[in-house]
Formats: sequence, C-alpha cells, structure tokens
Amino acid sequence: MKRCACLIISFLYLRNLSGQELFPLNEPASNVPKNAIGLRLFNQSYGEGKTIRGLDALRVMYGVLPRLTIMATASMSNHHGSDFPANLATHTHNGTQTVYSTGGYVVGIPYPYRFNGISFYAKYRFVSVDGQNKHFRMAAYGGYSYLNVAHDEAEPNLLDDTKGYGGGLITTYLKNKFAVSLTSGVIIPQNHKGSIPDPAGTGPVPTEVKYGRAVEYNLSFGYLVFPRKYENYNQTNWSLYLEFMGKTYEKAKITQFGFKDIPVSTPLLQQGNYIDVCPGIQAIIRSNLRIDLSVKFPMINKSYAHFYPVYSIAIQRYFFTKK
Amino acid sequence: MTVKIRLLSVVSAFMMLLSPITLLAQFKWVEVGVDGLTCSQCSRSVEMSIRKLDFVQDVEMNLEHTRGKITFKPLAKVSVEKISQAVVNAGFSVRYLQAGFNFENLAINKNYCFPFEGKQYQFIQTENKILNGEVLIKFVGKKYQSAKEYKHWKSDLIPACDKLKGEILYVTL
Repeated sequence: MKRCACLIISFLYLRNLSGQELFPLNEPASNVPKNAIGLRLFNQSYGEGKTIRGLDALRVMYGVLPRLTIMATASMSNHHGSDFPANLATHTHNGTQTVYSTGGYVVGIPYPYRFNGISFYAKYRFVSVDGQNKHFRMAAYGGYSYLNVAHDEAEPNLLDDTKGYGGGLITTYLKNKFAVSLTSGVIIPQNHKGSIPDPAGTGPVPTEVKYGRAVEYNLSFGYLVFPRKYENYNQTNWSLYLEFMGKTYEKAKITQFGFKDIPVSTPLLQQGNYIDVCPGIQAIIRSNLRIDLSVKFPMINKSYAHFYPVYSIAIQRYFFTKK
Repeated sequence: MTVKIRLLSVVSAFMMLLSPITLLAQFKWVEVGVDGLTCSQCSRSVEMSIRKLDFVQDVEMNLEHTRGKITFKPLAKVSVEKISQAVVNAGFSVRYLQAGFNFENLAINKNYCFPFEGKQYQFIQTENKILNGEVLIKFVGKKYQSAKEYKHWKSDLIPACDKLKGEILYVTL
C-alpha cells in the first residue's frame, strides 16, 4: 500500500516535467483515426495452483467516424470448463425437504482451451477540448459480449467470461507527456444456463447462474519517458503506466431444479469489491507497432475471478486504408 | 495572315484580362498546426490521413511543434477544407492553417475578393497592398483556427464576395 502511494506521488510529480494515453488495460476517450483499422493481439496469464490460466484474444478496431470507434474481440481461454464445476452447487435431502448449498472452490482444475465468444464495443467521443500538446476529452462507450462460458464467479467480466451488456463514460486529460484517464461504467450480465456433472451419475444437472451486476471504476496514469525530444518517427517511444482497476459487484444467484437463489457460502459467489494496481511499460516502434506489458496485483481486497499476479502482453498496430 | 495575327492578339488580350484572377495565384504549400496530439503515433495518424488526399504530393510533420507542411502535385486542385477535415478525421483539431501563395502583382484592399478554383477568397483586416511573389496567407474560420483564435476573428467574417460565385474562404496576411 505504501509502495503504491509512493508510485502515485512519483507520477504526480513527474507530470510537471511533461504521458501517453495509450493505456495497456484501459481505453482512453480518444478514437482510432477514421477509416483506420487496428489489430491487437493480447494474452493474459496467471498461475492458479499448478495450473497456468491463459487468455488469448484478437481485437479488430475500426474508426467509423472521427469520433466513433467500433471493436470486436474474439477470445479463447482455459479459465473454465464446458460445464460448471461439480461442486458449484449441491443438495441433500432431509426427509421431504431438499437443502441446497454451494461448495468450496478447488484451485487449479485443468481445463482445455476453449473459444469463449466475441465481445463488441463502441466508443463515441462527445467532448474534445484540444490545445497545443494537450487535450481534454470525454467519451461514452457501450458493449455487448456474446459469450458461452460456464463462468462460476459472481464477478462479471465482459471480455472473456460473461455474456451481457456494459456501458459508461471515459474522461481523459493529456498534457505534454502526462496522461490521466478515468473510466466508470456498469456491467449488466446475462445468465448462463449450463449444467454440472451429477456425482450420483444420473446425468448432468441443469444449473443457471445469474451473475452480479457491477460498477467499474478504473483510473490510469501514463507518462512518456523517451524520447525527451521528438525528432522523427523512427524513435522508439517508451511510456510508463500505472493503472488502478476497481469493481464492485453483487452476489451471484444460482438456480437448480427450480430452486432460485441457493444460499452461497463461497466468496467466489458472494458480492465483493476490489481495486487492483497494474504497473505497465510500453514501447511504440516506428510510431505504429505498439507492445504493452503490464502486471496486476491486488491493492484493496482481491478479485476471485483470477489469481495474482496477472501478466498481460499485447501487440497492436494500425493499418491506414486508402479511403 | 493578318486575320490570324488579329485573332491571336484578341486571344492574348482576353487572357491578360483573365490572368489576374485565374493564373496569377497558386498554392505553393500549406502548413497546418495540429492541436490535441503529443505522441509520434498520433502525429503519424495525421500524416497518413492527409496523405490520402489525391492532390497531396508530400507531408512533412514536425513532431516537436505538432505541425505539418504539405506540398501538392503539379496542377492539382487544392482543397484546404479537405486538409482540415483530414486532421479531424485523424482525431485531432486544427490550430492554424496557412499557405504559401504565389501572386503576380495583385492589388488588394480591405475585403478584396478574388476567385480561385471555384471558391471566393476574401481578404479581411488587410490594407491596400500589392501582392507579388510568394506570400503567406492565413485562413480564418472555424475549420482553420483553434476555437480561441476563431472567437477573436468571428466578428470580422462579413461576406463581401458574391456567394453565388462560390463558397467564401476568408484569408488574412
């Protein structure tokens, strides 16, 4: 915590010297140039017990209008199986009464890589106050994730885990080499209807999980370290980033055999909130090929949707069409 | 033979009459200041957006001062409006747009208008002057200036040219 505070203070101090808004994890309020196509290939991975969980995704971005960007992200991961884990929810019989309960969670169950689905995202910039070497911008974003994942945590994550809608606002301020951006939004997840293997061997048990609605609040800082002075496009641009990723979400509701809202005992399915801190570094080669590296640590509470640290690596570039 | 010479003389005289308005002005280059960018990737986006314009020969961006100098293909019809739009399309704003314009003894005064490539160029806040050789002209208007600068000039934008002859572009020295 103390270390994080020091880092923030360092960033605030550096702002006077002169940032970048091309954050490794958060979208800025700025857009992809009109008619330009962006491709981003990224991986996120973390260790869960002896298992390495990974997510690989390909994002295609397009500048429809100077102020409107659309994106589609296809992802695959080994975060979850095709069914819910066997201990997600179970029941016992007490006379004529059925008592439902949720089980604990098992760490590191190996799952094969599966295609999660596609997430769609659109961002419209509605405020632009530009000055020389500075800007203040605001954008509204909305998205829908068409995913089919047997996600077994209350926390929704539209990128790769949870089907549903999201939307919010992005405010970005950039001056000289310093950039700061706040993203605040909501996630309205949709239920996942799946099944869990029946330990009695009588066939899969139909199970529906309603994930918690969530509020996101992300704050990102960026600072351009090199070059100190621009001379040409061939100079590799190095930037440092510090991002805070926060989320508050409701508890999950599980339905089995028509019994709604099975009492949940595991923290995975309960309501929660957390803030992660993510330092990152970025190189932009020849003013187009962008490589991002960042690591995620827990700062306040923790997410149960992933273990720590989470390593992210991304490679991105724009292609300018002739239109 | 005499008829031929007379005809040539008439044509030349006619051309001379037209020349101050059609031939004696020409874009040499345009410089555009860009607001809102600080990174070389952003600067490159602006350059790529301007390069798409069919009349552009070359773009030289100055990353440090966030401006670009544009040169044109020979005899191409230049549109400053399209240059301004290209900057906006890249996601940024025009801080200023100025051009090196070649004149040949063009006598101007306050609100002087001259037609050029289908547009009416109107000088504002200029005194009586003869323009000869390469002259720096600055474009005035919402699309060619920062919001702050435009506010300062807005009240001077009173049309004096015949709008029916083409869209009016306001310029100053």
